[in-house]
Amino acid sequence: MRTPVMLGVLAALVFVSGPARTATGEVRGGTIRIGMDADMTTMDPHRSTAAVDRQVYNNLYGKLVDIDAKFGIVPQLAQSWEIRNGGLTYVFKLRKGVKFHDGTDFTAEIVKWNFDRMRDPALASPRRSEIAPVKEVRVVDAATVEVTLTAPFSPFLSVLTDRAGMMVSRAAVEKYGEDYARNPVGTGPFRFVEWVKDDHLTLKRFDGYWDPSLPHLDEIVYRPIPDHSVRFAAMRTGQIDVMHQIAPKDVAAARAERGLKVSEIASLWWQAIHLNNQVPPFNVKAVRQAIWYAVDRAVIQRVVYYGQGAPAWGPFPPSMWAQDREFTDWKRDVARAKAKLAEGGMPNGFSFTVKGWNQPTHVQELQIVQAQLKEIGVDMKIELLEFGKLLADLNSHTFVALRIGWSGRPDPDGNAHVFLHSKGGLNRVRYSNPKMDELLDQARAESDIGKRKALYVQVTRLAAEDAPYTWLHHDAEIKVWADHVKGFEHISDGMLRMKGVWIEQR
Amino acid sequence: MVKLLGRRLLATIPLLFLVSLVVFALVHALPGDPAVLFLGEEADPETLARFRVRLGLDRPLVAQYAAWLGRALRGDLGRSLRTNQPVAEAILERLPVTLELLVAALSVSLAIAIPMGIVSAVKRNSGVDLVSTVFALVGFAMPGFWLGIILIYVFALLLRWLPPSGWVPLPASVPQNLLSLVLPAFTLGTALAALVTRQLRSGMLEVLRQDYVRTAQAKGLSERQVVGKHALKNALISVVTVVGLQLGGLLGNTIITETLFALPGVGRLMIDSIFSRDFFVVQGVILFLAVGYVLSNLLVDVLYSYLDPRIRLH
Repeated sequence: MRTPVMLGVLAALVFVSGPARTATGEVRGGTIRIGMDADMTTMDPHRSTAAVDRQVYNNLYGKLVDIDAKFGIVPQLAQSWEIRNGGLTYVFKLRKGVKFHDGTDFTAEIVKWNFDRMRDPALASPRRSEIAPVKEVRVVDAATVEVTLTAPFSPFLSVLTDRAGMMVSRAAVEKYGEDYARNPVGTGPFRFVEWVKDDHLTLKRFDGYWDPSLPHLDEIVYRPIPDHSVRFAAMRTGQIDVMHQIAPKDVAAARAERGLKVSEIASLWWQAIHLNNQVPPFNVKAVRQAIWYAVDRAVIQRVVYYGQGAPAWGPFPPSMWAQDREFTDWKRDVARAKAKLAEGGMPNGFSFTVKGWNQPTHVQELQIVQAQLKEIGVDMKIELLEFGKLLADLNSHTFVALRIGWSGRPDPDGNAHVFLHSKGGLNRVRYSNPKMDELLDQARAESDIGKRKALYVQVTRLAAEDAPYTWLHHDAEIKVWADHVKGFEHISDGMLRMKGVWIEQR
Repeated sequence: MVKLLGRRLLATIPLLFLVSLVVFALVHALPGDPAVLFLGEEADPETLARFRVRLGLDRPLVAQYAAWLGRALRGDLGRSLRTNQPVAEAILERLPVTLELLVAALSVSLAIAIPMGIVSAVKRNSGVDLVSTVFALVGFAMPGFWLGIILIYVFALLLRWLPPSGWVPLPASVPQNLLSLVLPAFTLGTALAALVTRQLRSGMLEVLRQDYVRTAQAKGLSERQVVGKHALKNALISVVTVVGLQLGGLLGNTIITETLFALPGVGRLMIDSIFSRDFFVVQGVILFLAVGYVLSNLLVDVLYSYLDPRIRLH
């Protein structure tokens, strides 16, 4: 009788290969399926401009440093660092024994090569402007890199927690050339397997990860499902285990659904109407202030966002230490708005056109603003555009008013400097106030958080006074996942870091 | 027949040339700067300029068109600006999905429309006729995406019979492939079913009034033979016309259906590349679809001559 023997062997095999449980209860193995709102655009972090790409990168690539839930900078590929010369020099001590997925070594030489790649004008990398303050990168020894800046720039480490800090394999870039975008090689906890455009992207556990206890999962499958309702249906029917981006209207239903968990925290986003400060009627400060006081941000939060997120009165969301929580001069005041109109020489109101993205929440938001402005005699017409065209009009300053959001950066500098500094790269409204420039530059050079906070409070108040933008809302950062998904830490940047995630056996 | 085919094929050459010109002009007339969409809002002017040079976007449009056409004639449709994947490869990868969807939608619509059209013509003004009229009106008036969402709600969420989204390739699993096709096929095929039902009904009514039908009935043929053999074949000509004309619309609607159900087809490739201004992909896909449309119309013409020998003589 061979069968019982076979069964015995099988039983032993099952026992041996069964789920391994760690001391803290995590289980090794399993596949997690993540529903995304859009497909990835490229797997090269030095060339990516789409937010959705970063979701994959955070599991595929190691970066020099990362952020934790409180925006503290924590070690990743750099085990420690030292800031010298009054913030001009950063010395990174690298983790030793780290391998890329292709087996090559991660060394100081590779870090230098990565910086050189991003800074090479020929690559036309979007990272180039992010690391513009970098003057020189020097290899001290195999595990030490020294980065010198042109001027003290306190957000520097925070910039390295995103794509600019992600290290790609030199061997892979040299092997694949332009095709690297579809053949990525990093040092992250998961390695790239395949990408069937618009269908799925698969990552598998990297067995050579520098922390041998991680990751817990065997596999991650990203599935782009662009329609919000369909993605939510996929979540409810168990087609996916984690859902990225949920429509505000569906959040209540997700909370009510058995077997699903909803986590809501403050994001880094802001939404605002950009007012062109150089053309009438918004070249007059009092007219911009009239708009500032005429909108009711609380109504927008309640109606458009179903109470999620928070009203915005400046570039810093509630998740940031830089937010001025004492500031109250943003509440609706129709009488004051009318007085400001009169002060600006337009007591009977005026008419203007706002450009916006043809997308439900954006349209609803504009319609509410439209109704609120009507009460002070201002007639706002809405022109809806496709996103590419909206961006083109924004960049070429072809607008009187334009509604668009900013996904935010972990350091407050990234939410303010580019928009409010007269030389800021995204200051498309052409706002200019020397006092503001001074405050922003000081805050950028200052390393003491208490002093920086005081400066950002002044920035917030001056921005409210000058009102170059009518900030409306800070979005909530919401993730939905199935009950059997454990160990996910929700951070305001919204990234799905999967290395600590595991699946509970049912 | 061969002569007819040859003539028609020759006639498509200038047509396709014209299509290529229009496609190129349209894509380049699109507002929005591809460089900004690729490099992000924060890119400095120098980087933007370098990117345009790299892609040849700084050259005169005529030169860009000539270069593109020259390569396209040799079968090289260029590469995606984002992923560097050859455009032809990207299209071929997705073609099975779209073809399967089209065939399924066409089958669904004909399977609904032919019996319904015949019955409602034969049993004119009956209850069945009323039902088919209501179906046709609602089916044609309802936007595809709306129908799709309702189907997902009912069959995926409430009843849990079918998956709400996604694609399983045919070689991976035949039953799962078919399951993943059901809702998209109905979403895409219903409007056509409605149209064909009405067309077939009026076609049948007209044919059934003809003398030869009365003769057939007079010589004692069964109702089944009269309708099925004599009337239907003649009434089908109008159906073929409608289906042929609607093929373009059906192709266009795959964009919505594929996006809604998250299917990795050609339609989704096109819309994504339009939004990201991935020029070569947009040009390649539209040119490809135009060729497909021209060829399918050719097929319709061949079908005509089969159904109506008089067309062959002309």
